[in-house]
Amino acid sequence: MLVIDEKKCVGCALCNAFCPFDALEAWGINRVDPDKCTDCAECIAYCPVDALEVKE
Amino acid sequence: MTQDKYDVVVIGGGGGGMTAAALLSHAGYKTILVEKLPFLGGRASSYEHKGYIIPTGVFLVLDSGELGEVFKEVGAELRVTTATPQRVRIRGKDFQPPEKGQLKAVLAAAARDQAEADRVWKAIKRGLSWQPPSAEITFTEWLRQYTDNESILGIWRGLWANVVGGLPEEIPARAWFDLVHNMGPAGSEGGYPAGGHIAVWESLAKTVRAKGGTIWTRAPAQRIIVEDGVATGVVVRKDRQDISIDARVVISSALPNITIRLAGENTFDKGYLKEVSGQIRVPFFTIIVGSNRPLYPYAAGLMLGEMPRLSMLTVPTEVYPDYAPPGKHATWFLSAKCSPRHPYDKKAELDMLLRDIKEAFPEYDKAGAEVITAQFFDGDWPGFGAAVGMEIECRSPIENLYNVGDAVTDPAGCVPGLSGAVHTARLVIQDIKRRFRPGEM
Ligand SMILES: Cc1cc2nc3c(=O)[nH]c(=O)nc-3n(C[C@H](O)[C@H](O)[C@H](O)COP(=O)(O)OP(=O)(O)OC[C@H]3O[C@@H](n4cnc5c(N)ncnc54)[C@H](O)[C@@H]3O)c2cc1C
Ligand code: SF4
Ligand code: SF4
Repeated sequence: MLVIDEKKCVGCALCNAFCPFDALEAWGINRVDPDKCTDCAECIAYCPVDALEVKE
Repeated sequence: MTQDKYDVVVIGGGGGGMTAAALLSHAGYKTILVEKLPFLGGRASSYEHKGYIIPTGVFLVLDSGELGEVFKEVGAELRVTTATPQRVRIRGKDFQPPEKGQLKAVLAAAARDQAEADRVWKAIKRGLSWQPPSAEITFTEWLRQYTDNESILGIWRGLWANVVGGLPEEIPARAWFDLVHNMGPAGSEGGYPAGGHIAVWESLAKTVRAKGGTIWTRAPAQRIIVEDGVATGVVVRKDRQDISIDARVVISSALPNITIRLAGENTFDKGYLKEVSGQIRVPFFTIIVGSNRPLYPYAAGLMLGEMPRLSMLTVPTEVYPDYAPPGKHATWFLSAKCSPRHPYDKKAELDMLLRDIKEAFPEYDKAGAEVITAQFFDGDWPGFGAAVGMEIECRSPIENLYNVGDAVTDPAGCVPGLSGAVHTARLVIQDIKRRFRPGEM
């Protein structure tokens, strides 16, 4: 499951643009739509502050 | 796994790191640059989203000035279409400043009468040519001695925040005068790169590689290796492997607090740690809007001092229609008016910015405008790496470990933002050239 560390996330929205499934939406804080997210992990590399992680 | 030995390893491929790598490889130093993100350019780059080119930070890129000089020096191509000067909205009316003498002209437009304009202008000139005001009061406190005109104060709320980082009611009066002394009274200057901001850094990367330099993306530095107070290399994660790179010099363009984390806190002088932890990062936030009709058909856009959140907008599609999908227009809105010194609610800040946008452009809905993306910049991905006057030196207490970027500075005087990142890179390369020759490492 993709987990967003809300303490770390600055809300830059970089990850949103690179999610192939349009599962992320940032308005100040980033949110993931669990129905759309496939845990593909593509977004993780785009986070400049390491706020994203796929957890078992 | 161990790699070759390099003269210099550069951490981070933003404006600071890329210029450093370009100048080094051009001068014959064996150079490797490692960037954690999948693209180059850091907070001065761009990406595509929903058919739009979206900036990762900087709106306008300056092709004159230090960045331009570096491109010329290393023989890289820089294609920027200049779009200045920016207009200034004063009491609801848009003022078009002349190419030269912008500040004086804007001041005259904002003043109630000529006497007020003269009074403020004389005080500014005296501060620049005779004695700058004290750092004991803020810029706003200083200015209020000469005027209570909110439109004049608004000039600095727009200009200062966009160009310098930090708010006039929080920054020491002296800081602005020192800065103008170093840089001239720059407004928001620059233009749009053909193909988006990413093209600037890809062009520079091509030159680095042509000169034998190496650039890795998706390659976060994990650790800076320090032996007996001297930096000797970097451990980098690439393709799920940790690779150890030996080098004579390490340049970090990551923020100084990240550099410290990478090298290990216990290797640093306590005073230095205190300086770095005292740095204030300047928050910015943006809303990128797409529309069927242009919301403001003027490429360089507009600076707004008098709205609660909106400070600036630019209109890239007036220069390059391909910054938006066919038939659409893009307007980039920036707020630099959020105080770094007080807690704030990011969602509420963005709501306020959107309210300002709709108030400034009542035709928002009729033009079919919609938010394409909204970005916040703070913490380890800030608007500016340090509030003006809070930058630290490029040399770190660890020998052969340098910082470049927008949170460090020239002791001779600060240059903010992207220009500052380029400026510090040039300083550090000069220092390296003085100390070692290529291969002598
Ligand atoms: C919305 C906005 C508007 C702006 N407008 C202007 C403007 O008009 N004029 C101006 O001069 N400035 C402006 N700025 C500021 C400007 O963007 C920055 O000052 C400048 O881009 C900073 O460059 P840098 O190289 O110091 O840092 P960055 O661009 O942040 O580069 C640092 C790089 O290091 C990488 N990195 C971090 N940690 C590691 C690691 N462990 N391993 C490998 N790589 C790592 C990061 O991913 C990043 O790419 C603006 C900023 C924003 C956000
Ligand atoms: S893990 Fe994949 S699907 Fe889920 S948000 Fe990230 S990029 Fe999108
Ligand atoms: S990239 Fe990271 S910091 Fe930016 S919005 Fe996504 S999770 Fe937050």
